[in-house]
Amino acid sequence: MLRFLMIAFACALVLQPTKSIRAQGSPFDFIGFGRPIETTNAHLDGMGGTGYASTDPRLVNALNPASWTWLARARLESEIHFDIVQTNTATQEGRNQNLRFGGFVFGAPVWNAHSMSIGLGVQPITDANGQIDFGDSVSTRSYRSEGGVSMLFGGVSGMITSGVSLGGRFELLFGNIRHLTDLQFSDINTASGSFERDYSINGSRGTFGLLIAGDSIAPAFHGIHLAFGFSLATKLNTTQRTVVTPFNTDLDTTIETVGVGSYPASIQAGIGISLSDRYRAYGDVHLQDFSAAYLYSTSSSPVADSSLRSTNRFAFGIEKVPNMVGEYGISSFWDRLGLRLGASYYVTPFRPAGSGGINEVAISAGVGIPISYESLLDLAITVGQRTPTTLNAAPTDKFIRLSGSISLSERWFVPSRVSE
Amino acid sequence: MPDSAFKSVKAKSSPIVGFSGLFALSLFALLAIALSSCKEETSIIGAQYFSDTITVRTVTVKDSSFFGFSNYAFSTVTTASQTFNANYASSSIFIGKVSDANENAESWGVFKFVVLGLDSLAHIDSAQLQLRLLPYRFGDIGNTHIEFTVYPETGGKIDNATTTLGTADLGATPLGHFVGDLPSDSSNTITINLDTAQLKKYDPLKLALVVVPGAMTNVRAVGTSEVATAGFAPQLLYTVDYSGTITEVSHPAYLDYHLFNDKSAALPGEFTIRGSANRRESVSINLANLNKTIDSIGKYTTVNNAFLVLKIDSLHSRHSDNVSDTLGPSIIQLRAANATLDSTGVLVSYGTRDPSDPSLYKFQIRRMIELWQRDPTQNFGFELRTGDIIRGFLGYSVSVEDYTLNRWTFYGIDAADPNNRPKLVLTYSRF
Repeated sequence: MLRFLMIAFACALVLQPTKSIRAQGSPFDFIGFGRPIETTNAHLDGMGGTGYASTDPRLVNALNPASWTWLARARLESEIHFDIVQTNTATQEGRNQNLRFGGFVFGAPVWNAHSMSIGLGVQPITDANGQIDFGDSVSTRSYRSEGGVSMLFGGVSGMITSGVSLGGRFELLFGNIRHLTDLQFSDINTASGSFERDYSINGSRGTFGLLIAGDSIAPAFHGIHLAFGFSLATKLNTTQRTVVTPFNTDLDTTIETVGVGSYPASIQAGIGISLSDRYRAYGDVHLQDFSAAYLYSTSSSPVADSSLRSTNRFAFGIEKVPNMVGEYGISSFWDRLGLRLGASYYVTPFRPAGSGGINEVAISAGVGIPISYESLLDLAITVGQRTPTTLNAAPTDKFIRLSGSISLSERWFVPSRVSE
Repeated sequence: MPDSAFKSVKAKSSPIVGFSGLFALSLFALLAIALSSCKEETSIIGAQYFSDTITVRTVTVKDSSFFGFSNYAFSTVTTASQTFNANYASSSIFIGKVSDANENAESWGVFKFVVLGLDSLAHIDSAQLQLRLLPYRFGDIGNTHIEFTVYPETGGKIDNATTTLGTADLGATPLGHFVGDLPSDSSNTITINLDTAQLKKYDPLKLALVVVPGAMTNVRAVGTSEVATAGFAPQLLYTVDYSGTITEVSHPAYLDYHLFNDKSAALPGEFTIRGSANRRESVSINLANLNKTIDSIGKYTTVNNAFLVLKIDSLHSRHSDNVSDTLGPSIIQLRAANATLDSTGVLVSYGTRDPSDPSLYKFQIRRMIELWQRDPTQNFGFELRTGDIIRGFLGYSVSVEDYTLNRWTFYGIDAADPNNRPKLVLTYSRF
């Protein structure tokens, strides 16, 4: 009974209707493509977003397709996260909440001969949700940004030689960033107005990863995993759609113009170290140059978005692996949990004029709770701060993120690499 | 499987985490609930990063390069090759006059009835004209005095399309006379005894009765055959005596309308619109110049407000005591070029008096400006009219102002004092 209660609760958490999702987040979410989402898995969130070199057989690691080679069973994962962002300037304060769905990922081993696995999924890669309200004696305006960039992917990974895994996936980038404005006047005779400008984007790219087990290089490197990978730059087809809804709604006007966008390539590297049977440490570095990126342009010589810049992100994490099925011996409840800690430093892509750029530091903690046969509920909390390089030249964010993800792998999930 | 730090083994026992797991999960959920219950405070922070902001502006234009004003009146309506007096289909006939320092206008009622043939007319014994009074007064609205005189018109000058008539066109001797005091809301019937000795002289096919106001200081209204309610149509009642047999006959008018003659002086720098005279002011907006001159206004602008503001000359304006006449003049959007007898106009709004300055009337024309910005080919301008009612002329619908005598005089674009000239106050917003 308890099992069902927990699964039901977990499913409810993951599949919670989006009615309460308010289009609010960080003010930096308005810039460019929105705020890049580092991970969409509470497992990785709990370790500061690291895990590029993870070989966890119970994780469909969306960071690195090469790691799918280590998948032991078919798994379906989904995530939801909830952010509270408090934003301050020298004179003002705002507090926003943002509940978002992190998508689905499915991974399964398909061919034992080369430890081949496949992965499929749909996930957000940026979050462009935010809201601003302001008014004066004449009018009030509510600006909202909604949506972001998502990707639909499918890929495959396999062992090219013992201990060396190569993975690749095709990613279809799509999404709609909507900028909405409601204009109201204090004078009742003055008609309100609604404005909407959407940037509907699509494009495709490839992402490739390499994961090397240390002992395939030399026995001295046993327990160490190295990972490298990159995503190609993406040329986006961006359609700008302007919808003007005056008071006379029969005069609604939609203007569509087709342009292009550019989403930058990225390079990632990671290391995973087995500290003992159950303890692992990870370190990642992620580089992505947004300085030439832009969301939309109709020009034959597009100009990059000047409020974006080159980014790099460093993250470190440590994990105590959950004792899922008693593989580390029969133990107490607390011993069965997976425990995680992490920290990250992120030179974000945001560079509002005069700010010198926005940097983010965060620490995180997480727990993995076995909830059934091979299914896990992962929870994480991340606390951090985004600050401008030039103090007071841009807002400062303090944020708390709660993430919950579920990794389902029940008995009826097939195939499984491990004979049972 | 080569080196993996993780074990993936067959389950040895049920891994279910019991109450403790539920407890941990519940704690997390409580934390989430507690955090989500924190009060949200949306703010202005980050507005400078929002790329698609809205510009809101208010401008006032009053230069003649933005407006065109022209005045015209029409007295007849032609449909299917037939011409009618523009008040032909009115449901009110106005009879009376206003003559003071600021206004000089007079209105007559004309009626035609089916009567017996010439031979039978010789047997007529008595005759009455019955007019049903409507609650209406224009001019000296506190005065209840009515004086109507009925004249014959036998020269055949009165038909569907008659627009002018003078005393010289009428018989020299009145057929009947009514003098009395009736309040405006009485809905009384006025009965005027007609001189049968005179009636017998006329060709009944050519006979028309014309009711001319006498010593009156206002205009009153009577019902017409177009009033659907029984008893409101003008009636001719008479008796004929054939060898001692008295027969009573009554006929409703088959032709009835009013001839309105506005003799008020034209006022320099001003324009007047007037009901029953169907005098209108045609207004055009030069959008091309507007868009060229005013920053950020254009095709996809949202027009939050577009007030045409006119300053009224109160001395030379007047409306009746009819409740519907207290509405300001109407704005009619024209739907075709040169639509002088506009059957395709659309009532857009009525003028409202500015509470902060009663000399100003404001007309909301937002909808038209927005429409024309999006489709300039629809910009046929609009008209200021005293009212708007659709009448059927041989099955054709025509908008006329035959139900009112209201007179609105506004300062025009050529007013000597620029502060009195019409202006357009625009509040608009756009990306």
